[in-house]
Amino acid sequence: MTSTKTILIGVNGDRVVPLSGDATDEERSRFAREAEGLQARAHQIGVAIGMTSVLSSAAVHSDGCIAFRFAKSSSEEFDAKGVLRDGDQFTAFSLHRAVE
Amino acid sequence: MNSAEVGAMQDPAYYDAPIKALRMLKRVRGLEGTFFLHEGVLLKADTLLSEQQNAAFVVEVNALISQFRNAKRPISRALFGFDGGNVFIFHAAPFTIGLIFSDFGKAEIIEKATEEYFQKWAASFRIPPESVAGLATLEFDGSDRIVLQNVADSNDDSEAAKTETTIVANAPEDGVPVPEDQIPPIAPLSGDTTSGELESSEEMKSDLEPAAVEESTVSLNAETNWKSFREKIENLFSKVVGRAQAKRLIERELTSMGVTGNGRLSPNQFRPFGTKVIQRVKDRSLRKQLEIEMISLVEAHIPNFE
Repeated sequence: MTSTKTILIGVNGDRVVPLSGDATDEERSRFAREAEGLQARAHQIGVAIGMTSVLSSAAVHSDGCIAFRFAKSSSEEFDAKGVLRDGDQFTAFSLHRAVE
Repeated sequence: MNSAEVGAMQDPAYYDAPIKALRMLKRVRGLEGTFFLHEGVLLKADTLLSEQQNAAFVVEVNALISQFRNAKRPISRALFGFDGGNVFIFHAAPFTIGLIFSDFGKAEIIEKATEEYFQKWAASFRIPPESVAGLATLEFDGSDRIVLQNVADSNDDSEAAKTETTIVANAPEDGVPVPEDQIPPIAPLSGDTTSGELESSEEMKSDLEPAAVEESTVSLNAETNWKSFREKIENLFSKVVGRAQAKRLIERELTSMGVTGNGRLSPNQFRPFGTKVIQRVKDRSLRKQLEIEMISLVEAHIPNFE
């Protein structure tokens, strides 16, 4: 939790692979778990206000931040792409931009 | 803070001015709704949504905040993009503001405006100014062109794919913010299983055994047919949950039906299986829509086999 590196991650099915940076197994595993939790909650929030499909999510918390988005088309060759940063907090919109 | 001040802060009227000020945010073009919460209680909702939707939104936002707080990493901001709009949430305990807007391109303006709003009212809200301080912009040039190739290649036998390590999204660990209500119950595999479930499991085994010993075209077709159906159900379910989650839920359902490893369902079990998976979707209209698609998938797969 002490590192301040930014890692870019791709998700294909249940495979989580680093797209940039040297993400450790622990970091990738954590990304997968956190992204899943966030996505599930985002879905519930969307359902509450009549929106069904989650396209992207970002969260800034006391330990850092995380963002991901789902593929916009099948040509993107991944199911989702995300970014994880420990230690530092950044604006939510810039996290989204990082996974564009 | 003395008790009179605390008492005043519990009075919703205390927030009249900041709530009015929140309306100013609506000057931002594209902002369609605002929520103002104090200690999880909705003080003001200015949206075009129904009262029921507003209430449901508040419940889910509170759940999001609790989820992170319980994981000992309190959330301060969240931004969600949906097919029909976007939601920005700014949380500075005990206050939460939710904003709904249509144009994702306005996310930056909306986030900055909310930051400024909180900074302006921090003293009145008695929240530490540092908790609402402006955040830096992440300048991340994560050029992924080359490595993306690795993701695509990870399914083939290329050298790059071999050297790329992959991990499987595991079940949540302690302290990880995964909502409990999103974790489906695991069906009992033994002991509590009803006789009906046992029968279906036996039926499944009798279905599988011949397929395992015979290398006939029929069994190959059945295998292909099952794989195709399973993949399509996975794709269908992935519309509402992440692919990894969809995969795991499907595996759990199959396990509860007695199918593990390379086992498969017989075509007459496709529909009950699809129905069980779809039942996981809480939203009724969405569930109905998925059910229609699921039935057409079942119909498309039965003739292929029989």
